[in-house]
Amino acid sequence: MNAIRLIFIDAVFNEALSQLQLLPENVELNTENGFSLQVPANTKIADPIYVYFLNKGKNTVLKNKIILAENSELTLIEEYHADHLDKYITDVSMVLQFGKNALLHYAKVQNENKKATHQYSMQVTQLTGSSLYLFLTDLGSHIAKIQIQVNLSERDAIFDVKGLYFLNEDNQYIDNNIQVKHDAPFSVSGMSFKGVLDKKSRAVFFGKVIVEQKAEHISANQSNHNLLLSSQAEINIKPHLEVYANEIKCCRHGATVGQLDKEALFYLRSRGIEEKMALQLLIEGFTADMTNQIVNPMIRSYIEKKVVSHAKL
Amino acid sequence: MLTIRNLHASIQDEKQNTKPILHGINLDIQPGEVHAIMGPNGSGKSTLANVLAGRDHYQATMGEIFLQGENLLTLLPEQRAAAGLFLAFQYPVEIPGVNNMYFLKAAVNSLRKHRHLPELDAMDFLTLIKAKIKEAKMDEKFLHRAVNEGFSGGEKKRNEILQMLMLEPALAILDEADSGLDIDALQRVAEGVNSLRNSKRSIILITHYQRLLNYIIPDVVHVMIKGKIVKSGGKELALELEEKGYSEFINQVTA
Ligand SMILES: Nc1ncnc2c1ncn2[C@@H]1O[C@H](COP(=O)(O)OP(=O)(O)O)[C@@H](O)[C@H]1O
Ligand SMILES: [Mg+2]
Repeated sequence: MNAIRLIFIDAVFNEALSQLQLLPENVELNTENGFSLQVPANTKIADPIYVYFLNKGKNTVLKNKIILAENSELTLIEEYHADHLDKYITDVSMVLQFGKNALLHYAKVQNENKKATHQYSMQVTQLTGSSLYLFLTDLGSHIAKIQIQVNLSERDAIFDVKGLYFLNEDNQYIDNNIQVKHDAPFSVSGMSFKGVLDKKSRAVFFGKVIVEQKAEHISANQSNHNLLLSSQAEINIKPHLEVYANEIKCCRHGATVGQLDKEALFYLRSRGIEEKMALQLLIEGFTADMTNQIVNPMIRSYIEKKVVSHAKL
Repeated sequence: MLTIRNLHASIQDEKQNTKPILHGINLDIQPGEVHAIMGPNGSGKSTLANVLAGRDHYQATMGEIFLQGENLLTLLPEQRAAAGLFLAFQYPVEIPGVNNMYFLKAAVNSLRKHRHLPELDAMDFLTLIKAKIKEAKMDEKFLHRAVNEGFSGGEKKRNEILQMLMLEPALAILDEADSGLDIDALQRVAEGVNSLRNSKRSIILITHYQRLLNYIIPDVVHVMIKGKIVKSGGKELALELEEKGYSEFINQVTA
């Protein structure tokens, strides 16, 4: 991948491994306790920025921030990973501020080790015509708690979050808590998640949409589909909609919890494909329509590779 | 090629009730032979096919099956495929999200791995599949769709034929390959099957109509009624059945 690398080890910026020289000069970067990026008005950064947080054993607290001025554009991939198998906590707060018509393609890959606790809270404010395309991929951690609060404070702002989560250990847990406030007319929000749960794992999804009185003609959709590979896995889905406006376009909501299609599994096996690989094909098939929807091609191929190699484990 | 000895089999339904379906099937198929198994709906033809392929809940309760010397009943479904068995399903399943070409590549390479052959790389695979899809007279666009998803009945059957052409099994079982096909589609399916016919390969055609057998001429025809093969004969037997129907045989069994 052709990207501008920024590397943090136990929350400390590592300049030697990073590629600051590739960062356009007018972009302001601060790397104390995480990264803080400011993209000035009318600046479109062509190459994606890839921020990699490697844990080597310490509990870390990160305070990240991205400020996108009017008409600026950025593509960013953020990844969390560990090179050991001990317990640790990653605690991240992220602040995103969008100027008018600013655009961000943002992928977060959580690939912590299976003992880690990953806490992530994100605050988003979006002005007129700005767009955030967020893709969350949760592959690791023992516990993941994700909180996102979005304020669509001006018209035509678009917030679109999609995500995939994979849980495959007993007592592994993920909690996605996403709240979107439509505070302006013609704003658009979408939340669309898929989860694959195995063993005695548990996922909670709480999606809340508030439509304020002046926020007419908005559209807000939610979907959440889960594949349970074990009878002990558990998913709780709680959609919540509060509407104070009179005229809104549509607020579709769909949720499903299903098991693997045994007939499909047999079909694949009858063609000579071993059970393990057949399972993998079916899981990939289940998640493919989510990754296929990633707008940014660079992010799409990056996430596809991550998901495929994860399913192989 | 295939030897079935005194096979009894049951189906287990969702309530875990077992239902005996096959009552002592004997069958001997030599390399190069095409056998047709005919019989009315519900006589157990698909059950036999599923027992051969190793589907869950289809249990052989007695008897044995040998495919090219291998004891089939001890093998997993994927091992049976590796041993040379292929079942073209009566009702092929739709698998959303799994690309047809990707699936075929996984299948071809899995079988090659079982046979200790090197995997085909992307180029070789593409060359192979382009040739086979022409043979199956299918549109290439089907390769880029999810396996059977949204395919018409005829398209699903053709996709089965394509898989059969790709996997080149030693024993191909076609379960109602002709059901729901117009004459045109039926001919294509028959061409596909006939192109596979050779002195080393055996084929079982399961059907309850004689129609398909006008296009694929069988060496032997068996009549299955209520889980038993009640008569075997040459291809004339199919015509006789077409004329007289199954009632005579059914009466025989119930008598
Ligand atoms: N999945 C199943 N569960 C329970 N009974 C079944 C199932 N499939 C078939 N049967 C029953 O088994 C018998 C034989 O069916 P089948 O083998 O499909 O016959 P054929 O293919 O000759 O039409 C029928 O009585 C049918 O109702
Ligand atoms: Mg049948």
